[in-house]
Amino acid sequence: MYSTLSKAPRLVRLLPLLVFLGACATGAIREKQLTLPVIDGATPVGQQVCLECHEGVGAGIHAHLTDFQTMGGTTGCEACHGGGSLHVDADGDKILKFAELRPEESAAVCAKCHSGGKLMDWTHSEHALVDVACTDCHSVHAGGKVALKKQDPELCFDCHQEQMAQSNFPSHHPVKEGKMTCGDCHNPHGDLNTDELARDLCLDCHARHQGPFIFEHAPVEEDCTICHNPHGAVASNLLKQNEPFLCLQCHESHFHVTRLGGSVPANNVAFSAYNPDGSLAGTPVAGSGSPPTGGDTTGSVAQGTFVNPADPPATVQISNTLGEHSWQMAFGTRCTVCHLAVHGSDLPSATSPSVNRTPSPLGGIADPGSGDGQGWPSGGLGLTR
Amino acid sequence: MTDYQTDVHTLSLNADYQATEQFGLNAGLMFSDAKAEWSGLSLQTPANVNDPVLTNIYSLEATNVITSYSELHYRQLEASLGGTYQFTPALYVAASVGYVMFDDRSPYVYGDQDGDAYRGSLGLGYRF
Amino acid sequence: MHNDWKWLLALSVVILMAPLPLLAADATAQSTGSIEVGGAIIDIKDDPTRVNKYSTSLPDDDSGVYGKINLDAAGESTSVRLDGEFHDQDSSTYQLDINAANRLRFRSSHDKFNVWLNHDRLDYLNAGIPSGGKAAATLDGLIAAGTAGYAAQPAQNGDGATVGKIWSVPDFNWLDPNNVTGYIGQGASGQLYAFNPALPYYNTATIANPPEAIKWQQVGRASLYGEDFVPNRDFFMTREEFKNSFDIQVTPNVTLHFGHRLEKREGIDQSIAMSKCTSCHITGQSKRIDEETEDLRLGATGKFGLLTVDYEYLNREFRNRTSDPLRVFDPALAPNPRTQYTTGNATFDNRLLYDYEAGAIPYDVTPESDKQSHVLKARLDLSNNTVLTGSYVNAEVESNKADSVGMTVNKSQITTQYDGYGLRLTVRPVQRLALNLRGKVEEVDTSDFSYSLPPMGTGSASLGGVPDPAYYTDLERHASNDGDKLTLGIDGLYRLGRKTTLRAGYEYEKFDRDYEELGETETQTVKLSLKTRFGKTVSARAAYSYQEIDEPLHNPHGAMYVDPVTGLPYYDKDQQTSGVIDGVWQPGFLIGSGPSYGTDFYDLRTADLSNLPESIHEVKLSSTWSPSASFAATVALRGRFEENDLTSSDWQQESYSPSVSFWYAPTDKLNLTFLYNYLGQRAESKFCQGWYDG
Repeated sequence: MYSTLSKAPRLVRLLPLLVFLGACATGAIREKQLTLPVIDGATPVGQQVCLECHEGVGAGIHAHLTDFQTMGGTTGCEACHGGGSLHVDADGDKILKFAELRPEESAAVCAKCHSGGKLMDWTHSEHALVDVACTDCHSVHAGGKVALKKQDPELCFDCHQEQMAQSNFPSHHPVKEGKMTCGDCHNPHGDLNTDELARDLCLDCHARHQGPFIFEHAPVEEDCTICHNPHGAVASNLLKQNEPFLCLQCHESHFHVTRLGGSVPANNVAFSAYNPDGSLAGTPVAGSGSPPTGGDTTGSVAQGTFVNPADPPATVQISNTLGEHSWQMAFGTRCTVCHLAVHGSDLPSATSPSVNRTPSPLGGIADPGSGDGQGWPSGGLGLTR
Repeated sequence: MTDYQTDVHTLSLNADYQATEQFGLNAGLMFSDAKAEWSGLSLQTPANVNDPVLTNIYSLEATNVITSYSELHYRQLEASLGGTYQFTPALYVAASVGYVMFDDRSPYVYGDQDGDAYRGSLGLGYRF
Repeated sequence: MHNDWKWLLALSVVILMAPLPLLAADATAQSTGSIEVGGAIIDIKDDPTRVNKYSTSLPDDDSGVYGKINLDAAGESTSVRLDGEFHDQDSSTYQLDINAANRLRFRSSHDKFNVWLNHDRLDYLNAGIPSGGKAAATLDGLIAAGTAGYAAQPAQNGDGATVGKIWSVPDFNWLDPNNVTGYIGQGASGQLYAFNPALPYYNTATIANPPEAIKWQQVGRASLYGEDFVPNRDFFMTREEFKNSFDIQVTPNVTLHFGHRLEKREGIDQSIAMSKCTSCHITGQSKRIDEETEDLRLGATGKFGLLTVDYEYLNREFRNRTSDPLRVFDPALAPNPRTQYTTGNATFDNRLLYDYEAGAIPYDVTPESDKQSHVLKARLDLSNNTVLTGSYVNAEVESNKADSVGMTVNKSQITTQYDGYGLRLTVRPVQRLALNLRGKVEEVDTSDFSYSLPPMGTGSASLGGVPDPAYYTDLERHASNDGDKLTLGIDGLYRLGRKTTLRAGYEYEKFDRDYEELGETETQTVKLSLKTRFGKTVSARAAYSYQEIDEPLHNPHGAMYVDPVTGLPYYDKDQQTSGVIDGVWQPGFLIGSGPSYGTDFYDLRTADLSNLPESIHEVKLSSTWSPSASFAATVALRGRFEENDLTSSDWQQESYSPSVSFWYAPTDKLNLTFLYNYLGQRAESKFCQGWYDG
């Protein structure tokens, strides 16, 4: 053990000393070195003197700070309000009153102790930059949860009224239901509650979209707010606009939208592996090896069987019941009914990038999925399952 | 070019009333009317296209109807009334009723999601 | 740990009982609180999905008991706060906060509630056009009977056997969605033909009028339909979160932090899958949700005089406990008139990765992941309100990958690594002015990864020929968000007077993506705001910000081709003649060489599309009037104008959001609050419609 310590870098060996000195003198050093608002000439008189007039004021945690916690700094009322000697003599004046301090002055007093964790970036926070004071939200003398004047989100909604309205939009996070607060995502003393990219904040709860996926959707990886408005939206799932418009701002509309539907049954065109009741068509047989298992065993779809490929599947008569505009309805209503893995997938589309790939004299641009300039578009990518 | 218009009106009213030392009331009302509409799609099939398939079984004009398939229009109403009556400084009864209405005026692919919810609660409490 | 939460329930009971001995030990403790028990009832008419989306009490028509507890106890050295509500087994919550002399702090919370999920009815999916087989008799009637001289002629194969009919037609006007042949064609003489055989083999010599070669255009046998296999099922999820954190002040200036979070999502969700290339066949089934996220955090905060240091380590495991949903995909067919599902017929199996023969295969799978991160921050407070902070963040996310039906992968794991280095400085050169400077460098790096997508059929019978392995082997996966990001910013807050402040800020951000196709985004932001008070009753704030974004994330070459010869928004091959157009050689096409469709069209797209702006102007105005201690009224307005003008496309969005609110307390017994807000937003976007047969 001794041998190990002796080989440790000098700084590490000095760490216990550093901790000891910090423990004893941090409060005193900060009071001495930092620029804090003061009443010139005032000296401490002790908390008991204050309580002679201000009985019952200090009910919260700040009233019970010990020397152990202030690390050599001033304790009691005077830790924040400054020395009280002149105040006692001046009959109520000559004391630091937070209602009269400038926001940066009151923040400097608070930062004597509150310099770590989420408060580390206070001076760069949007609140600090718009001249919000600590005491605008906190009632230091009161007890309660971090001494807030009101609870989150009511406190936040006092100023952020648009967000209050959005919390009532048809699609919203469960803030008004009391299951989330603004502080779950926002650090009022900094920025967002993440030190990484903004999307990592969303992934704290929506971890199913974490990936990384084999097949990505670029805006999902970039920023969730490209498609979603986390404060509230009219469209479901907090989408900024409803499908398909949302998607069509970045994508070409499907070519099948322009088809005209027949008014007579199409008769013959489709085959299905399933019967209309969801059961497998054809002859289910045990697959070779272990049959696949899983899925929703409570649903009506029989799982865990292979289908005998030699047995013809079900024939589905396409009835064209939706008439002339059936194609517009199918392809112009909801993109993600087919492009279902819009947040990313590890499973490919049914399409292979394998044909029509002969070099074309037409030139063209590189297909993002294939890495070359030709071929079947987005083979494997566009309709990941 | 094509347009997407979102219009949402939200109105909220809350009241707290301490009628007597024993009896307090609180009431809340929220109403919102939210519309999101896509419009302004007016495609026209180009002239002089010598492609019988495109010109006969495809139609750019027909595409213009798709804006109506994803219209959204919701109205929501939430009303609540709650009260507390203090029998003694320690013993109280609390009651609340609530009504929530969700009016899906332009159903999307999820079917008509109209719904009404009526809530009520009655409880006995002890403060110490 | 797997799927076993019983120990958590036991722990919850222990946690809830823990305050009692602590309080008993503190003779000075004073406690207040309440306990409430009662009954609750909910009655839901029609659909509960939206009206009771987040069911904080009972999820559906039901009645039950509820309980609430509140405890607030504080002594000289110990404080305990407990809030809890119980409604039913799927909706409960509690929060506990124990503080022992600020040396030991324990926070625990549990929350559970239901979420109703949407159910897509799939009833808008039913579209088809008849195949050629259906229209044969119709064509006889329409063409032969109605148009003398254009009777059908037999089409023979090379052996002289009749395989179908070919009609010579005056024009194609008879073609409509109810009369579709398998093929239409044009001979070298210009004569138009319709062809509706069972097999597309014919002998041109048998065509009498005139005997000429014909180039054919296949008319797709397209159809689409949706089937909801679970039409009566409700979809919902229960979300449960259990959080505990423990802070121990080991010395006055060093605090250790321990945190644990367990989030669980359980329920039933709709699971949609789509087959293609027999027809587009969308099926709706249901799948169980059983996901678990477990976070373990360890950290420390140390204060050493003017220096504050924070460190936190996070280990996250995301697990998907449910079995993967399975589906048998439909047979791969080609959109030609031959509809028999036999392996002898030419189908699209040379361009599909899987179909019916693969059996039941997984889809809608949520991959598991592991994450570890280290966050180190330091803050140095100096005199004259100077603050210097530095941060280093390292995060790594891993997700296992494996071969699946239709795909082989070259690695068993993808890893994304994030490194962020930040530096911030606050200085106050003069008392009235605070200056903030900041810089941050971030790097995102994802491991190289490739995969192969071999088609299921490589036989010569496949329609379109034998696939070339060069086109589906070792395809590179491009991580879209890999790259280096640099952020530099400066903000100033100047106090013009005791009641008036002016804020000005500038930020530069550059994101250089490794994947060049997505470009390099540069963002410059300018902010200005003024906050003031007029007299004692009115306060006001005005803010303006402007952002200029060069090359925002967009879909490159995502849409649209304008024919340089015709000016039409599609590739009209029939109008083209061979030659060099705009520096690119363009072949001439007759109708028979194929429709205006396919790889050529995609490759020639020119428009970049995005809903992200290149410029943003935003104005915020607000004012509060508070003439007395019992009344305050606020009016606010936010206006935002965004636009982009990308290659061959443009987009813009305007948003206006005015608010009016007031608070009024006419007596100390009555308190009224009111809010009205309007949001009006109009987005205008290029609409790009693909127009081709396929």
